[in-house]
Amino acid sequence: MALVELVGITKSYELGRTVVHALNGVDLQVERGEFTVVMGPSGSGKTTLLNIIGCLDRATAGTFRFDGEELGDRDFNDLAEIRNRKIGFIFQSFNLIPVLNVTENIEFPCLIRGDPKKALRERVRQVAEEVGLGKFLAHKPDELSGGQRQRVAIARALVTQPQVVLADEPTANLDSGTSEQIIDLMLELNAKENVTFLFSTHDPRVMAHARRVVHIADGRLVDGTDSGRAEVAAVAGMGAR
Amino acid sequence: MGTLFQLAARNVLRNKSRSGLTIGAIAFGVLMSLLLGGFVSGIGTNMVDDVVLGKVGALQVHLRGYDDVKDNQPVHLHMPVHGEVVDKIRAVPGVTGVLPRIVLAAMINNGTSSTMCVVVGADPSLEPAVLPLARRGLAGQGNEAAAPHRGVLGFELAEAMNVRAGSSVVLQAATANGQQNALDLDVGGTTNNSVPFESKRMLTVPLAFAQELLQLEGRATEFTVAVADREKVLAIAEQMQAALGPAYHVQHWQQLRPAVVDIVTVQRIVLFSICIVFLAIAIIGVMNTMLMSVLERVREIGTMMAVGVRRGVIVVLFLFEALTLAALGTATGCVLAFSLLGLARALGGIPLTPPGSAMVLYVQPIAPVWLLGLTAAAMFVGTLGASAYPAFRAARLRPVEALRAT
Ligand SMILES: Nc1ncnc2c1ncn2[C@@H]1O[C@H](COP(=O)(O)OP(=O)(O)OP(=O)(O)O)[C@@H](O)[C@H]1O
Ligand SMILES: [Mg+2]
Repeated sequence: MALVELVGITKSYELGRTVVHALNGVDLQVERGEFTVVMGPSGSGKTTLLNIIGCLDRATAGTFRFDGEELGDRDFNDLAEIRNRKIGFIFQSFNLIPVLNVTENIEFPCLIRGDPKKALRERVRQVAEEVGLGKFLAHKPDELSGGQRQRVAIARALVTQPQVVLADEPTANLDSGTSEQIIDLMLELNAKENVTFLFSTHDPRVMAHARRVVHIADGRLVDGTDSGRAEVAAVAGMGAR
Repeated sequence: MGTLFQLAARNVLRNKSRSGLTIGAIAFGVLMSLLLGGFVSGIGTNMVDDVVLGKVGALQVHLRGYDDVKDNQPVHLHMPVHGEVVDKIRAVPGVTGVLPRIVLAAMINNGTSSTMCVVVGADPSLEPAVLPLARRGLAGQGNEAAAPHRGVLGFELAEAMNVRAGSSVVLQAATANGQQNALDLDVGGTTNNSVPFESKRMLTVPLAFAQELLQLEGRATEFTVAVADREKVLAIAEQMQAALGPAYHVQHWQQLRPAVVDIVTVQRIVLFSICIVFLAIAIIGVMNTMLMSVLERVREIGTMMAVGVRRGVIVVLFLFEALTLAALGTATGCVLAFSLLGLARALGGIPLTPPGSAMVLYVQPIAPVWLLGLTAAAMFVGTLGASAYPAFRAARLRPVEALRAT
């Protein structure tokens, strides 16, 4: 059973008289342990897709199953609980809580679900170490670089041991060197700890690292759901140029 | 819960100038409310003290029927100064002193002209224990048991009669059995009363003088009673009435001077209204601050929702923030108010001249505990009410839209 399963998902917005189809019949499966890149130009529907998978938004039509369950009839608090326990989020603009330091930001999702604080601190330290923030535990977000902030966000997404981490253009606000490091970090976490990643980007260079790429354009997945290795290699070559 | 509270506290510290301003507004509201309250209740206390400790006492006992004709200062309804009645009055728990008095109407004559006046005869040796403020505003010599033919005139009465300390006047009155009697009275001093009527129309004499003038040896028309605790006066009155039986009529000061109760009530209503305005301003400040902090933290709220914070928790977070502001503001306001009121008392009170009087009263401003409780409660309830809308607005945000905000 796939972890995430989308069948014929559409999402449309009514703007006055016109209807915008942000997603137009998307079929997608994500298996546990996969590292999937959703690739598409600006406005193609990446964020919309990830929001639906992340239980932040509801599809207009279609079937969405997460971990084997259809979540269409769940209320806000049920979905909040699912997001908290099963999904990690990494955002383009980091979205840390400015009044909390690194440790507190990382432990926040665990504290709100009532994890005991003592055991938590140790785990937070471990995760922070893993993402390379061991020395910055007491720093506030505004004392960190963009790359470091995104590492905090990654740690915050990982600390709850989610089934999937959704990263919506996590490198868009970072320079290319830092981007590479962040992507490498995620790949490493995927390889070592088997964390499932769904990663959206419009930057073709990212594909150099991807094991699986799905292309999205105008709310549709292009040429089926999976692109072959060959194409990945080709674009990687292009990105390196 | 602890985490949330910590988060709320830090969010308050986040925008120091705005939080400071809001706390200042709350503190100002609380400060004004307590200062005004302290002042008004000080005036009220002064008025009640003047009545209870200076004029009518906490309670009075008359023969039944006196009250119906008391405006004519009847003298035929008299009781023995010593005996069973006084003993029964003294025996009521909480009673600290009994002062026999006679109130009568008389003509005062300075040799060339005469006018009506009201004479109060009281036992000078018992008076200080029962009416300790009776001599407030006295110029010259007060009444003494050793000088039974010396009295004190109201300031304006003395001026109208053109007499001063050392002069002498004649008092003429009808005795209990209807004959006319006249007696010389030396003027010992004058009293500068805060009530115009009393200054213009009243004079006080030793009880013995009144008894002699009315030929009522060993009798009094009323007993003025002091009690230890003014708050218990109603219960004491009831108990005393039961002990004395239906032939006697016990009244407490609120029945004897209903106007004072009315004035104090009106003062409180005015005070309340003003306090509500001040507190409302503070509460609108809180609402504004909370709305602003919700609006500028939309994406943060979206982030919290994304990582799994429930709607109720968002509400609680913002309510905590508002309550933190309210608590800090209220505490600051209280400290300031109590310091200022304490300072005013340490400097001897606030001087005040009642209208129609030349006497300066010193008001001791004390903010009553109930006002403090009410102000704090109003502040907290008001803050909760005012921040409910911003808090619910935050919680109603849709996560996708909140996350898209800049
Ligand atoms: N709330 C909304 N109301 C109306 N239209 C919307 C809304 N959200 C998204 N859209 C539209 O849906 C389409 C897909 O938007 P989406 O944000 O998913 O694209 P994206 O691939 O994430 O783009 P980007 O790379 O710029 O982030 C766009 O045409 C956008 O204008
Ligand atoms: Mg997007």
